[in-house]
Amino acid sequence: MQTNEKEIVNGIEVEVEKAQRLIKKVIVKEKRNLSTKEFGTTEMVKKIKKMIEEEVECY
Amino acid sequence: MLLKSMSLTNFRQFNGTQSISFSVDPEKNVTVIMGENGSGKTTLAQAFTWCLYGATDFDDQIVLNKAISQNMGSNGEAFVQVKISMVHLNVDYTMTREQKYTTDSTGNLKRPNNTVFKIQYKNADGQQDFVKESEVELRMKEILPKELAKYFFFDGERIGNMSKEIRKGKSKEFADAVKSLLGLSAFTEALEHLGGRSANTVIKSYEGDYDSKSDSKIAQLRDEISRYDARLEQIEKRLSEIDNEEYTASEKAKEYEVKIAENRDSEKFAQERAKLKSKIAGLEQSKVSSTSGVIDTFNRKGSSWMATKMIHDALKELVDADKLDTGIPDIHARTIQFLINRKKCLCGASIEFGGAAYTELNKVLDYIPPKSIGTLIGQFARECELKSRGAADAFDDISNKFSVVSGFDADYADLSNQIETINKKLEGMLNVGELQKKYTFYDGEVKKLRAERVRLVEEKGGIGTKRERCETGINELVLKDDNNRRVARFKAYATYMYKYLFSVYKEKETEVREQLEEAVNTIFKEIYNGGFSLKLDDKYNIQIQVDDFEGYSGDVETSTAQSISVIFAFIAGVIKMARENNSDENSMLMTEAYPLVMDAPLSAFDKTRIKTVCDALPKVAEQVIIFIKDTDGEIAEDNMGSKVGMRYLFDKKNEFETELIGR
Amino acid sequence: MFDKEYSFKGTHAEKVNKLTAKFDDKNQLFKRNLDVYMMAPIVGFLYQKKSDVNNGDGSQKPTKIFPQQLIENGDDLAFTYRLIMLLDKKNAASIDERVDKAFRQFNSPQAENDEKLYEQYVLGGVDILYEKLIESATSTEDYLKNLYDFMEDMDDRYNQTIDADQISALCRLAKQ
Repeated sequence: MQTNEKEIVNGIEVEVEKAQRLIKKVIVKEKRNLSTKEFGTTEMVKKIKKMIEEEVECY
Repeated sequence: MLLKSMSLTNFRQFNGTQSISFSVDPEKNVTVIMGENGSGKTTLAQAFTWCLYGATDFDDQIVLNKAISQNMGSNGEAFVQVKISMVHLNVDYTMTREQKYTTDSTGNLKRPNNTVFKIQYKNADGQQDFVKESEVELRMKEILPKELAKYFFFDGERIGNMSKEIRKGKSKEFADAVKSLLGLSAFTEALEHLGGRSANTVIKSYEGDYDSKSDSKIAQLRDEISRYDARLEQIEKRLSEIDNEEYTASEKAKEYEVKIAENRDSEKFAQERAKLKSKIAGLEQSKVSSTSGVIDTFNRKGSSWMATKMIHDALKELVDADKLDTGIPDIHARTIQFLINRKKCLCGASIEFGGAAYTELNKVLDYIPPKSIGTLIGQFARECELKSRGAADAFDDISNKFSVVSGFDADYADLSNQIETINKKLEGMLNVGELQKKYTFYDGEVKKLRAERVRLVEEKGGIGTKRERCETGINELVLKDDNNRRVARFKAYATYMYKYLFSVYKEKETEVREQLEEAVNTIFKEIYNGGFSLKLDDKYNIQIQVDDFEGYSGDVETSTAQSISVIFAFIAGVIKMARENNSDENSMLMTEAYPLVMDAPLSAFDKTRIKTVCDALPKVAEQVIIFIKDTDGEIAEDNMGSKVGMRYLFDKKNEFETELIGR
Repeated sequence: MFDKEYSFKGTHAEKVNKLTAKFDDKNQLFKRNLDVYMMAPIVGFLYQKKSDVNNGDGSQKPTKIFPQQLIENGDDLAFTYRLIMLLDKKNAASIDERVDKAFRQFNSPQAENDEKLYEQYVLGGVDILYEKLIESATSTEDYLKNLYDFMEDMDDRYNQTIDADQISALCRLAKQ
């Protein structure tokens, strides 16, 4: 539905679909971590960055 | 969070180690613990909060069993321990709190040591592990914050306070706790990690990833941004302070407004009282003047007035006896003497010595000069008339004045009663002027804070725009560099995600609150019938509102049964929501079920309500641990029997010792 | 008569003291002993109450009326004396005798017994006044109430049927 929808953030195009997928992933990750308490803030930030980079870079 | 078991060692009435298992069977999820008042129900309920948070509501903070402490001897030592096993988010935990007590050389109990709290859990490998000592409090807070605990470890005896607290003036912590309970914590975590306040966030980290050393223009813009950020942070901080301050101030203002309304009449009453007092003063004055008037009249005219009858009778006697006759005109005693001496009357009749004529003539002597008393009698008669005239109105006068005096008591009593009534009303009323001053102060504070907020929000908006312009400027510059272009893209996504999540979070939060409100209302209407509904504001304060009451929207006085119902409804609503969210695998919300541990005053309800409460609770809560009086036992069995998985009885051996017996 | 100092003695001194005492912060039923002395004989006569001088239990000090006061009010006192003498049929049955006592013998040596009688009425009146106004009073409010009740009694008994016009008519009759 939102296939080609794009939004400009700070002058940069953001693909909404990708971003939404990312959000869901992040939330799931956060949810899991809330119960396991496996990762601290630094690690979580790293993991989220990794997720973003992966999702953005890939086609 | 499901409670599996608890064991108490030397905790208050529980001498030695006693354990209790709670039913975790989803079908029979109720554990009933029965006991008379004073047998240890409250103690057991308090054992939960003592173990988990190190606090009890007992006045006596010594939790060591009295029988133990009395037999410790000199230099002895003893331990109190409460251990709770539970499952939380599929992790097995065991919480242990222990406190060491020692006696001095004379056998007196010394001040106890601080309690030691440990959390043991089974880690991912199935190995037992301890939560780091420095993190136990934090972990406990994550499992169940204390602010919320009191709603799950629920003491029927403090319902009055709870109901008040649940309805107004709750802290931000409470709202946070409810939010996390309702599964919004994944959102808050994600938001925090993406672009929260801390220095360590995805967005900030990307900023650091820019290769900007070579470009002084970028550095300059970055400087500018961090200045804006610093200011924005200040503004945010101040805004949240303003929120709190405004809340407090407007609560205060409201409070005084209510007081003023309650006391508005006091001025009117005070005026009325002053009027009545001056009336009383007038009455007293007229009593005084009437009293002295009565006495004055009595002294001046009393004698004459009393003598009226005598005067009348005396005059009548004198008239009847012709004594008022002033005698024969122009006849002197010498005339009579002359006639007697010549023995011949004026008419020519002879006057014999001692004869009838002689006697008659001698009598005349009495009425003629010089022996005449006629003058005296005449004077007396005139006095009679004067006195009776002068005193005629004496009694009327006195009557009138006396009626003032005698009426005084009744009038005085009447006025005094009125004053007394007003005094009673005024008692407890406060000086409106003072209240008004306070109200004006707080109201002024609210206005100031609002004005400040408006100013700050404007500034924030302005800074936000400037900041964005800087960001765009940086972007334009960095995009010239390949690596930077990559980073900027990631950052743009992160920023988008943050903004999006934030708006979703806001929406969700409202939605969750509305759902909670609905859930609470559904349950409330099930257990409390009577035209009321509950409203949750954005701080999760509950207001009771009257339905179908045109033009009326105020808060309503609450009765005990109503208060209990409100709390039940709130707790049950929260638990129900938590459970529903939990069962939805794909939900972005995440929560955990919670038990309901309650000291239930079932007898405070009527029969039908007991039934609905007993029906509703095991359904909404994953686990119910209920403490009841023996007398309520039958009611509970009747209504929850099929749901009861475990039964215990308090066996009170004496004042200091109770044993837990399974049934 | 009525030109020498007069003293109430014994119980009467005590009663007169009470009758002239302040019953609240400013009021007294009788302002002076003289006022009691002027009213008492009328009351004594109306209630046909005669009392003799006594010494009480010996503890009561006499209370006096100074000659000056008596002389100044001599006319009123004489009027009362005459009224009583004119009306006291027990003292003298015939009106002539009573007229003599009231007028001719007033202030003469022959009046000695009448003066004693008069004083008996004075003292009897003091007893009555005391009994009616003071004795039953338990609070200061009672004094005034007693006074009113006392007068109301008298009004019922003596004054209802008489008014000043009747007296004036009698006076006119007398002057013809």
